Amino acid sequence: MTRTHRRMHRLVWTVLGIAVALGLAMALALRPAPAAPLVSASLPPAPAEARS
Amino acid sequence: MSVGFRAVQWNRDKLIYDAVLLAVVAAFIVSFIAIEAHLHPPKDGPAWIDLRIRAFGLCAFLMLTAILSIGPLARLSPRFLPLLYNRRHFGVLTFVIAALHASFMVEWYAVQNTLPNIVTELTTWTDYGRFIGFPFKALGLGALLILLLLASTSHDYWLQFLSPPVWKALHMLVYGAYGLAVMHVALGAMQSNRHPAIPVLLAASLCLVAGLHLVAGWRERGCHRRRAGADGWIAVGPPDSIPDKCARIVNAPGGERIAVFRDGDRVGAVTNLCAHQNGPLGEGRIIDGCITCPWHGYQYRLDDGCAPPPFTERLATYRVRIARGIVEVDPRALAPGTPAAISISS
Ligand code: FES
Repeated sequence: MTRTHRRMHRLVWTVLGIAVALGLAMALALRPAPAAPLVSASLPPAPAEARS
Repeated sequence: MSVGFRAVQWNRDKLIYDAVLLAVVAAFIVSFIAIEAHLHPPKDGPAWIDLRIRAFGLCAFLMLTAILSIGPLARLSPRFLPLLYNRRHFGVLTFVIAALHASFMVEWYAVQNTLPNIVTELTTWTDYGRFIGFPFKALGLGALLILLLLASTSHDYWLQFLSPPVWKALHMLVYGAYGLAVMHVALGAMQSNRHPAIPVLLAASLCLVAGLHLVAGWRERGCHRRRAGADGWIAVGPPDSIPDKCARIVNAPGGERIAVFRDGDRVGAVTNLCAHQNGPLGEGRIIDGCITCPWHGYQYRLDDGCAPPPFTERLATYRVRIARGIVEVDPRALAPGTPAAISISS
């Protein structure tokens, strides 16, 4: 990799790693209780896994 | 490039790589579906489709994790280099598996005549302002589009058309695809299914990818720092400190890397960037008298950085000298193809 690529590579994965780790932690912490509504209130219910 | 090896075309190693890859992916998907169907038998058609959605989604995510781990693993140990070779086919197969995951999702809605629900979900703009409840399918779609772009430009035609630096920069988008995929699962399946395996899998994947990059980056930092002397030449070390038929990599003051190779009593220095895809030549070896790139096997003569006939690639070379028993390299690059290697016994 060229010097520019190495810098870009380091910057991209550092920023992305921190953002994704934060996003994942928030998504885990803010998970609704099991019975709470799941995704969009505007949609009819759908089986859990088919939503992924 | 190598006389006996043509990167663009099929060869036995590539066929074996692809056959093993396909067999592992097929075995994973079949086993996942068989075990899940045994533990929780699907009740109807949509439930079977749901099972396929999970199997292909999980497989694509694991493949993406593996792709991002191969680069740093190969930098940490040459034992992983065979995985790097032909990584492009790995990437294309990941896109195919991810696309099948998405198509099963569409099928799930279609068999129940609820296709418009997908559109509603993707176009309920107020949901884009929420965190929990964000239309996570849009994240998956974004990741899929990036994988499509990378898969469709993974052929050597595009490498030549775009030039290696642009192609390389474009293919760094794979990190974006990975981030979108993690959040697609975190805001989708992880919200609706409270099984602890989902957050554990996401966290383990993230720790693996980030950890390997950190360790590989840290090791490189320590290895390559060299201070230039008063006349600008950089000390590499005694000739014996360069393993025979291998290289030591040094940093030029501008930051570009130089690979200083030793082949018996011949020492020569070339740019660390392979002319093919900018692979790290200094991590390669001298085979049949030629510096051989560890990524796809392009070869260059040590003496002048030229690929052996009939190939025409040429590398920038660097002057080397022995001063007080130490190999030194002049970090000012010579024109590609300029003879610059020396004999240490002379
Ligand atoms: S042979 Fe492909 S990068 Fe060197």
